[in-house]
Amino acid sequence: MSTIIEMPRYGANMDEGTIATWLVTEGESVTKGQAIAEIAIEKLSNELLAPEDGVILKLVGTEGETYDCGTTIAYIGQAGENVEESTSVEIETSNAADTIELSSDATIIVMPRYGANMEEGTVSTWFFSDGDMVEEGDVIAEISIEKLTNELLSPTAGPFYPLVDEGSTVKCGKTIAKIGEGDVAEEGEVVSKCSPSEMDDVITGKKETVSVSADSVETVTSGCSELTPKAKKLADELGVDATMLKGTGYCNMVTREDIKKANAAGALSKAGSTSVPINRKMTAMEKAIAAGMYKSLQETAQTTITMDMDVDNLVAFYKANKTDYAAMGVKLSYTSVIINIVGKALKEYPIMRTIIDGDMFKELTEINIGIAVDIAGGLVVPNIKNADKKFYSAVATELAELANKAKTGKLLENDLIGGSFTITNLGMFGIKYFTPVLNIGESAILGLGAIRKELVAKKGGFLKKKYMSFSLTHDHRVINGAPAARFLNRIQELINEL
Amino acid sequence: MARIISFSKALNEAMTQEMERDENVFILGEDVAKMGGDFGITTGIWERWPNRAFDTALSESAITGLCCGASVCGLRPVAELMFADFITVCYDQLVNNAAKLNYMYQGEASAQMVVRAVTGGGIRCAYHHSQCIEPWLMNIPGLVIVAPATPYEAKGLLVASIRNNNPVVFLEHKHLYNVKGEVPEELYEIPLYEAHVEREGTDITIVAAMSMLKFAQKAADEMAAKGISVEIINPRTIFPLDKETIKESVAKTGRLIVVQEGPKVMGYGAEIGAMLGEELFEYLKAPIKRVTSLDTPVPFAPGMEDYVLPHYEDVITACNEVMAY
Repeated sequence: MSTIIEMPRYGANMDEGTIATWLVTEGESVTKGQAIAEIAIEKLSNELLAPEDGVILKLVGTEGETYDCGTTIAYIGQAGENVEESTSVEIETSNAADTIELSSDATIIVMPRYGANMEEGTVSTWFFSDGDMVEEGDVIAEISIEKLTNELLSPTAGPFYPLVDEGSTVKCGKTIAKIGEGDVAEEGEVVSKCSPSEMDDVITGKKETVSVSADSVETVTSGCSELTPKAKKLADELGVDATMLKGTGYCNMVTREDIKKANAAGALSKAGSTSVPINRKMTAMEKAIAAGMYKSLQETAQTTITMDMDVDNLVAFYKANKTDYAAMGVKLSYTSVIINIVGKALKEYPIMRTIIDGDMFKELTEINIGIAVDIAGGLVVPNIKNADKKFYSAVATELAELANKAKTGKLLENDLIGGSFTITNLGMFGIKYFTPVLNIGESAILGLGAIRKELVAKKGGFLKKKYMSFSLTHDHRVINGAPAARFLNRIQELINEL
Repeated sequence: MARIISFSKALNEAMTQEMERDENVFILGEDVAKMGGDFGITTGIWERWPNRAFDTALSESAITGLCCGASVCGLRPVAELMFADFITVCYDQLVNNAAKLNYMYQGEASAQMVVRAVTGGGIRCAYHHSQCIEPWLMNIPGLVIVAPATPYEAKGLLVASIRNNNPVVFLEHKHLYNVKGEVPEELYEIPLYEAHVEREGTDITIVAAMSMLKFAQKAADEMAAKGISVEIINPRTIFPLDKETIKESVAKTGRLIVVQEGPKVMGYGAEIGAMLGEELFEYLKAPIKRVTSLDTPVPFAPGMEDYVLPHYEDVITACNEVMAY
């Protein structure tokens, strides 16, 4: 049994490729995964790997020539085998198109492939018998796969001849019937039309002519359309191809919501076809972040503890003061208030700002609290110097300035060095708990979660309270669990005393 | 064993068989006992159970109040209001007592009562005996409004209403009393709160209850001849409404016509329309249409009454309009 090797398809946009070099010769033995050719497509070149162990029987494609994807360019098989024998299994191995035009005007119907995981299907019912005339679109068979049953539609009109019995289980791509009087599968006449990856596109993209999934069958019989009227309008406006979408509305109709999601995903919009993989050089900042994160996790013993803080008092403080501060031109925020609190706590807990330097513990005496800022190019951590000595308004003002400088790329080196502790906030994304990674040169980092309302049982009744989860990552080489926990409890006390 | 009997007989059978089954069930109302009811619905019950059928004074308020009290004591009263129009005088008992009882007593008591009320126009009964009263009650959470359209539904829904622990206002359309249909002899229940798809179709959904159902069926036949497929939904319970069945249907067809006998303003058609506007807007292919009475009292003069009540032709016009949109 020999196997066809086709011009491969690397990505949906590729229509053809050029054989840059054959890396093997006819008669050469190859092992599965061995590079046998270099295929050039526009600016890229890829290696074509042997699909199995065997001998290269024939190189059909010529170096320097361009072929459509799916075109046979070589045969691989066992030594001494001849290529002609291979054609009878061609369909099976290539999972070729559902229908294959024959020179003699008969159309072959093959076992369709519904989705990438389907390997074989069972013809549970034939709806026509030998010689019956069928019309294009007639349901000719019921195909069962595991738990599903799909209807197979006729691709064309003509006299119909089933070639396998009802109940037969057949591999995808293998002939199961023909339409027309022509002879079937004359060796060498079958022309495979597309590669396996394209096959899936054909099935999903052209289901109205090739096959109808179980869902759509139900849809058709119950009289629902595929899109709601408003979804259709929106799809047209946005240029979204809705034919491949799975509807989530009534009757499995595609809704406006589905179209919006598809548009956001960008995957199916006509303009931007498929998403481009990220293949690019890292920027200097990205390299620094990658190196820093890796170093941090390699060189310290990080562990994270979390605590749900009762922040009723924090919220009350913020609400009571924000207007007054705003009148002074100061933008008070939860983060800024927490920086003040953490500054006080850090002062009382020098262990939280102690690092290992060689074989020495070293206390960082200045309480400079870093704030992780999400910027377009990555992440920066400017710090607020001597946060323990500053008023709420000063911290709030400085925080706003630093964030602004970070976002406009105007941070100075001094803003970034000398940190002794870091605060990072993912609460605005609804994150509750996370495990922040230590900033190099520090022994603790505090992650702030979202403020949330909860009902708590108290004194035989229920009380509505606001909570915020604090995730504290600490270097266990320096800070053990209990001191870290005491530090968090102290923060809770300070919040209560606001 | 099903046989062909009238809507009236089906109601009588439901009450009789429920009284045989459950000794807590009893009937009361104006002339329901010795006379068997103004429309003859309760014929024969007093003869069998003279202690469980009561003729009352001419006071709908007292009838409904008594029902509330009896319910709290664990009985299951089935009252008859000779004309639903007089529900106005027992409104306080229904709205502020019956509908709230279960809530007021934290579920320990409930108004497990049925008020059978004879509703609708078209039989030349004039202003005070021809109204469709369902919208008056649809704004009262706690009440259940049941509206059968066929003899089969009359029996099955009345049985379910008697067994239900909520206060049920059971609407009987005068025009339907003599309608005959297949009704099983044995006792059966048709679940409340579930609409019924009377006919499946793909182009237009018509929602129609009680006597309006026949308009919908006739219109569906006429439209089918023109190649237009009409789906008919009979709500059966008007309040609380089975929204899901209606939504599924209208999502499919994209077009809705509500045929409602009462005036257009604030009828259940308005509620269904608003609900679909809120929840199903994107599926609609045409504006929602309502075929209703005119917004006027139902006149006495036959010609005038016919003019005011909804016309079959209006249903066809609405169908054509939604298809042409």
